Amino acid sequence: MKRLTDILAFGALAATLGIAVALQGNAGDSAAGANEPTVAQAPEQTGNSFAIRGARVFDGERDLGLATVVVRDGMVESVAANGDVPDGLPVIDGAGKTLLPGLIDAHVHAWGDAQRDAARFGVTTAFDMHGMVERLPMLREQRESLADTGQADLWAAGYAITAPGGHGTQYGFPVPAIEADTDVAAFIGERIDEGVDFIKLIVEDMSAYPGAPSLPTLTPAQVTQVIAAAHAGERLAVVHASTLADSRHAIEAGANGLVHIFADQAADAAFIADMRAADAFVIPTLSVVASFSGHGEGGALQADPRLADRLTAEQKATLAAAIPGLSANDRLEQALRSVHELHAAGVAILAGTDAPNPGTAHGVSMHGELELLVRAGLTPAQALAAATSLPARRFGIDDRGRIAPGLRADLLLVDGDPLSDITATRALTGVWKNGYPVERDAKATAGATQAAPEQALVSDFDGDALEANFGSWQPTTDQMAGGASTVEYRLVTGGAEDSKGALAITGEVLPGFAFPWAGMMFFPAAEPMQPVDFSARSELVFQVRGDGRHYSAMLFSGPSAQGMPSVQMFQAGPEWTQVRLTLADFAGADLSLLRGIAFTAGQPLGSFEFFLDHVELR
Amino acid sequence: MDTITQLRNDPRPASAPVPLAQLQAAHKRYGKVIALDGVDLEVHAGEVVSLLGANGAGKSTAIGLMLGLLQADAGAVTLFGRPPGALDARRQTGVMLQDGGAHGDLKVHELLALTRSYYPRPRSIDECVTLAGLEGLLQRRYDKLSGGQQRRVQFALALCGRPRLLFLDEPTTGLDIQARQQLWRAVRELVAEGCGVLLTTHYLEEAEALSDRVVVLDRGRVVAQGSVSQIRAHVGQRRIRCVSALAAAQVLCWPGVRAATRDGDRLEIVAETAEPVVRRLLDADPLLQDLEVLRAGLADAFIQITAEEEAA
Amino acid sequence: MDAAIEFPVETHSFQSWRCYLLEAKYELLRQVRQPAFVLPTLLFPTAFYLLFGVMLSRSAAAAEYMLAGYGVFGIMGAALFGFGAGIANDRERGLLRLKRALPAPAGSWLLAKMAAAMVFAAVISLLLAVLAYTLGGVALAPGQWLALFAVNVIGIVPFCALGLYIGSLVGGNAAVAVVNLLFLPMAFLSGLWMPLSILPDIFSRLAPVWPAYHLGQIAMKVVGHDAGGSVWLHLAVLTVVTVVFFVLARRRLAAAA
Repeated sequence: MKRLTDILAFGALAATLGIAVALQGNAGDSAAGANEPTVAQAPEQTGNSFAIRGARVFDGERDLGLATVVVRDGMVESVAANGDVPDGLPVIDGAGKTLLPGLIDAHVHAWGDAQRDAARFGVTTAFDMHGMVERLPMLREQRESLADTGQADLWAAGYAITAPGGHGTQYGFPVPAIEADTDVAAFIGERIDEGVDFIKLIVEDMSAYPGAPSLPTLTPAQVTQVIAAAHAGERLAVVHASTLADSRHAIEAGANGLVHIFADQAADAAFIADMRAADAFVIPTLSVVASFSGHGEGGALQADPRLADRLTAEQKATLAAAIPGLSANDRLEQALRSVHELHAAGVAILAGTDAPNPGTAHGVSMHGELELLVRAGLTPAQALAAATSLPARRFGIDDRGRIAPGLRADLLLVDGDPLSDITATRALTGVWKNGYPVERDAKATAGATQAAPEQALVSDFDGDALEANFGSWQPTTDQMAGGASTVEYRLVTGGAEDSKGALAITGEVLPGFAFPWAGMMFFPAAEPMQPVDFSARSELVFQVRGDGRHYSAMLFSGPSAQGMPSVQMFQAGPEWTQVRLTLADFAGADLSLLRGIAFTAGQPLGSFEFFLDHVELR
Repeated sequence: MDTITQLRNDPRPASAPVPLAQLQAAHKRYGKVIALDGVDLEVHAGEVVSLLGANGAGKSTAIGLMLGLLQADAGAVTLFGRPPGALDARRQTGVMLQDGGAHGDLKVHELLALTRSYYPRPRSIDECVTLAGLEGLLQRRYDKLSGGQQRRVQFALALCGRPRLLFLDEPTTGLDIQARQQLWRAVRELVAEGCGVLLTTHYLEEAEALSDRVVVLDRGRVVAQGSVSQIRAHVGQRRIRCVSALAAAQVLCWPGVRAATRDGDRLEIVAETAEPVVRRLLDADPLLQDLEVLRAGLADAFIQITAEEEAA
Repeated sequence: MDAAIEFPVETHSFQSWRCYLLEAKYELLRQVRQPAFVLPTLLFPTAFYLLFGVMLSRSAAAAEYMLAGYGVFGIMGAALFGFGAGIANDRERGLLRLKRALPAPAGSWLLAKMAAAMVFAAVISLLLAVLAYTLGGVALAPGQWLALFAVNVIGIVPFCALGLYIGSLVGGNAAVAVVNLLFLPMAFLSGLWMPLSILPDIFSRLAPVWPAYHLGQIAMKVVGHDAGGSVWLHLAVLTVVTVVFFVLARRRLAAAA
């Protein structure tokens, strides 16, 4: 009897573990597959090691004179006056040029192509002052990686803190707002839990803009509470305020900085003393103040031949935009005077543009802002520090902002000497992000929306090669986001409804990225992610069979190629089945700017196999 | 023989209607080894019962059954009239096991606090200290104590719950005379309060000092029980040693001789009474020398009782 | 059978909850008083994590993976050494016999030992979380931190069962040896130190043999780095492991008394 119990117990254990091995076999299989390990090994970095010799180096704080800067694996390895370059590194001749740290735009609103546009003009980091929070983990991952992104990294406020119906709620996405009875500490706690890097408050009743309808805004008491809650959550609190009075209250309440300079009047001595005492900073955003004064810099920037070639249509549009119904005023003069006096008093000034507000554009307006700061009385070196080392330090970012060993190789090389002529920053000859050269040509992302082609049929996969009647198919996996999933495709004979062929898609979803995916993507235009207008179509129809898994149809659309896709699920059963997905059911999709449709496997991890045939956009 | 039988049938004290602990025809075997073979044993309030027996005689098994550590294969075991595992019954008992066992890395006062927490009406710490002689030891770590001190701590743990029944398994092993006598005093105090005690010991004097009754076990059976004096009387035999040429087999035939063995030139005789045998020895062997007469010890009592048992 | 002897009322009404607390308190105190147990138990996982998860790791993903892995590694040590080897020691020294002879509520020592192991697991889990958050750059949602903590603290149970069985099989010194023999290879083969994918295929295939693999997978699922097995499968395996070893250990301990 006793023996029997022991034998039964061990038997149950052995059986369970045996079953576990059998069931886990597949997962183990995938983990050990041909494709590469997920985390233990850093990917081989090539192409982000080089040296720049003979350039004058401004390190973010000081002029180092002529120096050699060695970059290895995306990081600055050494900065030295003598010109030794380790063997085997490509060398860039910097003679007659100045090397600067990648610029930091301390006030932007980034969506669409903003990050790419910024980087193309030397802005390799930016602080987003109001936007949706879903992308925050992605932004964090991006700025921590040393990948060849060709984009500016973002630190972000998430949703700006405002009152119901207040400024910030008019941009078409829902914004949580503080009501009269909101528990402010809990509310700010929620924002912090959303992963925001800092808290931005909006104090704006429009009283600084005569004639504009007034807006509800946070009460002074709420401002004080929000700032206290932000500090309790160990986040900076920065404040949008348009009047001296509101700014004064914000600083008295402990705000770390202002994200605009008020322009209803110039700063008075008491305010300047408050700013000094609080060691607060100001991001004057003179570029956008200029627009509001009727003296926008957009036209001048567009006209500058050093910049004009590389502007996208979108950049040109925002630069050219003007604030309607505005008459010229002295706001810019007031703002310049305030900045001058604050700066003279030792208050930290950070460069920010508020792009893409009217009269500004991502990246390019930073060069205008630098010039405005110099006009306000900063030396060119101080203006450059305001756009590099200072914002990094003030926002607690220690891997960039200067050119020094161990820091990220975010660099720009300009012709001439911006330390004597600040507009020389516009004569960019090279931008590096994470040590990789940034493609500064706008062509890849430019172009007007194409009209949809005539036919509904995308592909019947009956040919000898993977073709589409329009556009193209490409494999897609989360490897572009740092994941490890794999996919393979091939054309097979025997399609749905006895057609000749079909597209077989196999692969493995592997751990490595938070939202893993692998599959095939259809791009309707000649270039991947170029938008095509499919607003006249109503259904995505295709035949599918496969291993019984659930798959996603992900529809990429909208003005930005970086937008989140809309998703519908379908199942691939053993028999060919026609799947009809109503395009209108892709929530939030903009069919007039359809950029791609991906057919992918996601969670759960593991291998997958499915077949597609007869894909149509009806 | 008669004596033995009489001893074995010695009636229990009639005063206590329900024994605190009781074995009735208890059987226990480990594989082929019979540990207890129909043992009857009772402990009553206010009495000390000493359980004697050689190693392997079944003492530990008997205690194990009464404590509920073991299950009897047959027969009945009760503690306070309940199954021995019952928690409320165990709350009336205190235990001092032979192989000790205490958390070495705890301090004495912590051990006491923990053990006291098991009981509904524990003695105060001071009372425990006085009874067990723990003065000055409370803040010491148990594993830093001497063997004798550890034994006293174990005794304190056994009595701290104000038990009505105390199991003491060789409690004075390793204690000096003074400590031993203190323990005896304490046991007597407890008994005076009405506590029943089941004691195992190697020391006859200990059994003698404390016991109301002695139960002798051998190979799983009760071979004798009675008061200490009854047992002593039973083992009133003498051991006679001398250098003599007489054959052991010859001497064994003499009346009153229970055993005779030769070891080299020495003859060793066990006799019921010494005098007649000595007289006859001297007569039979004029050259006899180095004559010794010894009173039998507890060991002899065991040997004798068990030898008779074997013979019977 | 004779009639039962009447006991005073307080014997029945006596609530022994206090002895559970004391038992747990002193069990913890005992373990804390053993530097030879405390130091390795706390330092191994934290030092390893600092080295492999923080200093040698180049991505937040690796730091996350290792946070999950070394957490399970650490609590497994606390359970196997503190619980398993501890029981072997106690048993060898006759403590278990004494506990059963004393009116300690059945299983109170078992619960006390498990509580102590849980305290250690909680400390290890918190230490790792602090390191991961401050030095490793690991940013998890509050729910993920909590889930990881819960997995670590509750996850000791199957290893306590395994430890109990080892403790019931062999004596104190031998138990330490057996646990060492089991602990380090099992941690390695379960992918707690590094992803199994960098080892030959066979390691990944056979990993589900180890109970630690299943707890590790649950922890890694929390941070999104598991191999994709069903959480129910892992839970089922851990449950069977727990039940089987508890049953086996119980039988051995009952027979040994």
